[in-house]
Amino acid sequence: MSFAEPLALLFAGAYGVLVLFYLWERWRRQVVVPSLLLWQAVREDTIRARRFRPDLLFILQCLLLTALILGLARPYLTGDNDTTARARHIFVVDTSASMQAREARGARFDEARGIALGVLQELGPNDEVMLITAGHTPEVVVNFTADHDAVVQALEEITPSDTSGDLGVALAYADAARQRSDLPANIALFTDVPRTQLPPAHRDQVTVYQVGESDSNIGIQALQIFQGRFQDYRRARAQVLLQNYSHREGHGFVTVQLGNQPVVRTGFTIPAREAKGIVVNDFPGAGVVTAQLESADALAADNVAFGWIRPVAPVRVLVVSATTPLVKELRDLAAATPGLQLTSVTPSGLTSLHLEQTDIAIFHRFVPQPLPAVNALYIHPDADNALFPVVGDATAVEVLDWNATHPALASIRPLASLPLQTTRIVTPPAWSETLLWSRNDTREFPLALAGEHNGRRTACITFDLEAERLLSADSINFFLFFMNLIAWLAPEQEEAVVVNTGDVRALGPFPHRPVMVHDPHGKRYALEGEPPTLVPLFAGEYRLSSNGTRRTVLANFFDPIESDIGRASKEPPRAFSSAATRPPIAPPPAADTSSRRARNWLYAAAIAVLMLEWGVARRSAS
Amino acid sequence: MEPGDSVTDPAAAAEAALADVLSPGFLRKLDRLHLTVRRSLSTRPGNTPMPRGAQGSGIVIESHKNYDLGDDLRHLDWNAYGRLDQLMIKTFRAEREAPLQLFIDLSASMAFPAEDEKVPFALSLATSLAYVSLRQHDPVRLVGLSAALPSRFMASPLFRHRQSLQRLRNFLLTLRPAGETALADGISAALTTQRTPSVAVVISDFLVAPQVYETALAHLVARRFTVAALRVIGPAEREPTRLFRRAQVVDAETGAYRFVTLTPANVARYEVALRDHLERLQSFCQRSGIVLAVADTAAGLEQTLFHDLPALGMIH
Repeated sequence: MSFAEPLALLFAGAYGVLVLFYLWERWRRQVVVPSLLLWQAVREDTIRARRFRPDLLFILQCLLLTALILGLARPYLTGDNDTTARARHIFVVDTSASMQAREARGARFDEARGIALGVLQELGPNDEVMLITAGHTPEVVVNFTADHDAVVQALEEITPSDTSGDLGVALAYADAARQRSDLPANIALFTDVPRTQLPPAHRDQVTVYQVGESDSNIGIQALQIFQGRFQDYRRARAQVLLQNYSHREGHGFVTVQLGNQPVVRTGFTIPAREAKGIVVNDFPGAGVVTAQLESADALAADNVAFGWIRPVAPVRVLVVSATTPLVKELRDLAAATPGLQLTSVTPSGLTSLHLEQTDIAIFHRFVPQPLPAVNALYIHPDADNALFPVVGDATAVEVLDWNATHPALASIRPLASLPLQTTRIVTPPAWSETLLWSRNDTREFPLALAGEHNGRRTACITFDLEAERLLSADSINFFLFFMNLIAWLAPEQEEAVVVNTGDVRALGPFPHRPVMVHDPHGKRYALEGEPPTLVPLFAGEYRLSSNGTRRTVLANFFDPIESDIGRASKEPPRAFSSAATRPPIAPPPAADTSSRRARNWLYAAAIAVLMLEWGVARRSAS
Repeated sequence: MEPGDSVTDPAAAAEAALADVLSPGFLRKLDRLHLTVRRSLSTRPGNTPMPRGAQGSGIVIESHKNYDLGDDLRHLDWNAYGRLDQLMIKTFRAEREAPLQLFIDLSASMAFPAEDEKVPFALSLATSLAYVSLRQHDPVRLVGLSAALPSRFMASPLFRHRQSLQRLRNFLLTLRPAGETALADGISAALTTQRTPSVAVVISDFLVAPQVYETALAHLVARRFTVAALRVIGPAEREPTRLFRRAQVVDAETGAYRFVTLTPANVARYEVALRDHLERLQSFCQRSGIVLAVADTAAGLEQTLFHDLPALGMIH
């Protein structure tokens, strides 16, 4: 027999305390009697008058003390027939994209899996194993179990994804599980990341089985589609950025196609560790653009990228204004913009039929009542309108500040030094945000504002464009602002969404549930959450459908860290072939489970003795 | 029970006990009792008949005697002369005053074990006997005995009337147990001021060497007192296991101590010692013509007054 906590035996000193207590208690106890006359016949404790003589209570108290001390010391029997679990092992398997890299012996992930299976085979039959995948979101695939077959099955089923892997979080999970474990546990990491690149907090606490040697990879680092808001496919162009991650010159071919129709196929040569861009024009139509790399490299996940050329439907713009030069200017602008179809009507001639056939309504010096159920731009609203309460006018003002985060002002150079002759001073409605500011001697006031009102995008320019003649080539920045504002007001026409793998994308609204997904691997499942949320783990096309409503999500794997599969500090690969080369598993202390069991029994015995001692003490007192 | 442990405050216990005795209901019970006095050498006339005393005049005819020259002819029994043709003179039962002296042991031993409440019981017993005597128009004197008292005793004045009960009570309440036992010395000292033999009742636990209490009682017998001894005992004194199992037992009067474990054998030894003590006391009293009653505080005052003492002939 041995003890898991031998230091607890030092509490045996409490026996001496108990004896002293008994002696002290005995010395103190005096009873006054009328006379010793009758006690002369009673045999006195003369020999042991001051010595200790245990009684039943003392024996019970000693037993209680013994049970408690042994319980703390946690005794256990050492023997060959101990069938309890001796240790726990936490397997952390890297499932990031780089693990798909092909080596001489096969894919890194397959090699890592093989090593994990080998380690598993070497474990004791009662050892417990936990399996954690270190992918985009670390996940405990199998909790501690002695069923090694279940672990094998789980290992066979997991696959790497086209995302980065969060080893830090996965190792933190593993470390937390190890600390919570009442058995000693060790962590084994199967990855292509060298130990020196692991988070410092875990670097020395894990056994690293590193796989992978090759750095041969050329990948598509980016695929950008340039298409103006009102431009159709004829004006669209694509740029494919290729990166050579290896330390040798790379060659290959890249094919860009629209749908199934090739647009361009070109060869390339990229020096080591350098990038190269390829521009593609003259797309024959709108749709999914696919760039496919053909190269003898190790990682295929970054050899394909997707883009989307938007089919442009013309935006119908209705200008409601008196016959003014502004109407002519807007007509000229629409004529120059292929995606704009402009009609005009006077305020008195405005009917509901006009509004039904309109995507954007521009009201000049006029705010209709009731408000139209259409996206609208109000230019220099009349003084008594209810939508933008006018508190006064200002003259000779300038644009002093602007909201650069709003899409209407994106990519626009500063609008300062834009003198305005006259403008309305309006009180901004609560639903709006100010786009352009100015101020006079007394207050600050908006010059342009926008927001969503009654479910419709609504904007307002407080100064008169006609008077300011701003829609001219001289005011290119304001012109761009105006066009951006029109683009923001135009209804959304996108049918496909382009995202990166691993990004959380909320989709919606979908009119019906459930929303079914077909992923690039042909797997079909339903999306959960409200709104439905998609996290694409693989590059490719995701088709979503819900009772007739269809959407397409194109996921690209653009991760230069994962694509750079070469490792700077490569540790010698572990050729796991025998127990002799296997890193030693920390020897567990003997029979923790049996000691815990013995401790529980001893504590139960202590409770029983305590109750018995209490009963005897009460009986003695009575 | 340990030093300082007591069931109740001793003074309060004594006061409560006396209050019970002097309650109207209990006094009515005591009205039925009479002390049996077989001899009194008091010359004062009283109401207590002397069973074997005779005098020339009286109420109750005691006996007859032959006529002697000088006898009072008024007491000639002419009926006896008519029948016996002999001159016979009637003699009458003598009635004398029979003072009662109550000697109460006030040594420290009477205060322990505290739960036995021997002192309140002794005071109650003394008060009850005093009342019985006063109701018989016999005077009563109370004497406390202790080595702690000046001259080893403290005596009350002679109480003659029932109206003296309150003063008698007040005197008793001044008595506190303390010091060593002074039965012999105290009684001897007390008798120097009270020479007239009468009735003496000694109330004590008699937990002294036999020669001490024998000397004390012998003093009284020698002075021709009618003596009664009341041995006060309590349940804890009978069964010390009520107090402890293993302890340092300390003598209440001398402070001497012994370490004792009350094993069954030791308990048996103690019981034998107690029995021997009581038997020796009984034997001495019997030889000396002293009435001995063992008054158990657990049995109660009424058991002693209305059963034990009448059974012994001390009360009727």
